[in-house]
Amino acid sequence: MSLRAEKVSVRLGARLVVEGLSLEIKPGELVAVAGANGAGKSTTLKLMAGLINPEAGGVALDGKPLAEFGGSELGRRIAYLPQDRTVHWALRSVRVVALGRLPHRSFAAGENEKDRAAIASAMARMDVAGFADRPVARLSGGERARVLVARALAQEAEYLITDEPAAGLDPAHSLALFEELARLARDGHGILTALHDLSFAARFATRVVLLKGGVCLADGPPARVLSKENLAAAFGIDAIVTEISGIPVVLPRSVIRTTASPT
Amino acid sequence: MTSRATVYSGILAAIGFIASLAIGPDGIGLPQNSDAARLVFMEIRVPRALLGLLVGAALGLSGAVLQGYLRNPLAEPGLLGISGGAALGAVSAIHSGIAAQFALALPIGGLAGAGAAAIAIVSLAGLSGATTTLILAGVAVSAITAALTTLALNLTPNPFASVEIMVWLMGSLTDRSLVHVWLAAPLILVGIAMLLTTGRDLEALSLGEEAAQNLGVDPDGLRFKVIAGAAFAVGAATAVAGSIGFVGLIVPHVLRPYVGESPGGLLLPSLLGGAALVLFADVGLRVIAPYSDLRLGVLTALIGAPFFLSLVLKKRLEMQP
Repeated sequence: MSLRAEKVSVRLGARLVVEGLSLEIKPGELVAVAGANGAGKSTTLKLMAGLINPEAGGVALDGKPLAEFGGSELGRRIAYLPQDRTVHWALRSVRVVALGRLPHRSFAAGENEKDRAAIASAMARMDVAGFADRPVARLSGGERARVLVARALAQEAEYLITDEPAAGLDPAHSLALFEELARLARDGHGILTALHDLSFAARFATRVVLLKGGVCLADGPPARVLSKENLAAAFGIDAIVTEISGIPVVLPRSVIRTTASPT
Repeated sequence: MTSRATVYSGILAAIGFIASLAIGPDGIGLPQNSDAARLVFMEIRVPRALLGLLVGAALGLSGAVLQGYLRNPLAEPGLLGISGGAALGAVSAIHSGIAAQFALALPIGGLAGAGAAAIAIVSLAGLSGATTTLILAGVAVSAITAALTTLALNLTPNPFASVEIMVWLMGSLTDRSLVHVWLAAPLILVGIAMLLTTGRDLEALSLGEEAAQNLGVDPDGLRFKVIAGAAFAVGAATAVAGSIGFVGLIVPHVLRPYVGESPGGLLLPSLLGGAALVLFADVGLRVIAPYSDLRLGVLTALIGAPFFLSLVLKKRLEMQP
């Protein structure tokens, strides 16, 4: 029982974006993927969701290669939430959340009780039921982000892969979102999320994968991976890694200058 | 899942169809017990009403599918260059004089042109890849077919042929026989059937290509259904009726608010609404100007352009505080 990438490499154009990466998520885990811009986080997530085919290596769900799954079958097992939050038509929020039920519905079949229950539960958990009938085009950025997370939750997949789900959310809603992700993991889902908030990674993730230049730099429990040395290597920052009232905090203090500066 | 928009546009299409059968330049009425009247009914009104229904349905539906697929409310059936190809094929048939020898050369030439345009688009844009490439390929093919059509017009051997080309390009349902219906109907119906299966994928595509893929959309399969479906439906419609503009653009636009902007829910209402618009416009021609040579494509353009003006004004009012 796992979603597993084995020595995968991905090439976009001439550039090798991910190189020889091995990564495994099991139900019950919340795995955070961290790394600098362009480190290959988004590509890794798309790879794990079966959206791109690797040049070498392969990704398998419970031992079966992702390519052998039908589209809807994979959608029932793995939910993917992209970073891009564009919704192209002025659909009502509840219709957007309902799109998460598509992989569960047979062709031309309407929504059944189970679909409606999943939609309502997802909307309640993301605190978006209040504007169910408002078109997404009229929502604020944060509200829209939560509607889209609710769409992925309505999919009721075992694995949830989200790319920067908290970007642009206010502190209360990003906290609520990560508490929800942690709860899903405790309930037996496997969560893979890319994020830039290292304190959140330290606090909520059961495991952190640190990427640099498409290569895995470190993979393990947050306390071990988010060390001063690793952060310096991955981001080129001097960071304070500490705990305040029992909550782990990672605070970037300064940028490490790689070229000698005239001081 | 039948929406209210489907029911209303269906009723309009049905009224349009009956009106098209019942109303002629010589007044209202179904055939009496005279052989001449029955002949007029079967040979003139029935093919005209059937073609109006089929052509309108093809244009309205393809417009809705292309707008949903390209996620662009300004997409229209002519965008892929298929109607341009059909027009070029038909015009070549007139230009070469084959159409004068053999009447069906015109629609058959149109079908050949549409097929050639579809092949050109697929070989330019490929069967997988970004939608932008598809739009660019469509623009390229449209430009080439438009240039060649103008060239044919420019080099016509005699003034009669150039008038014939001009008139054909304006689009019309007059003087079509049941043979035209049998020629176009199977192809249009195949196209419509393919396009109608895209609804669910278009819904998912509202969230972007990656999310849609995660929700079970096969991007290459969808692209094939959209291109082939539009090629059959729009190609066959243009081959028998000429270029009838604005229908595929306006109909989805008007109906979109009534289906909650749902791109999939828009398909059936747009099919019926397209049929209704073409049938009413064609009946309108017979009532307003029964013996003039006012063409259907000219009338839809006359209806369509002011509609866009009203859209601009509405947008401006929305923007103002």
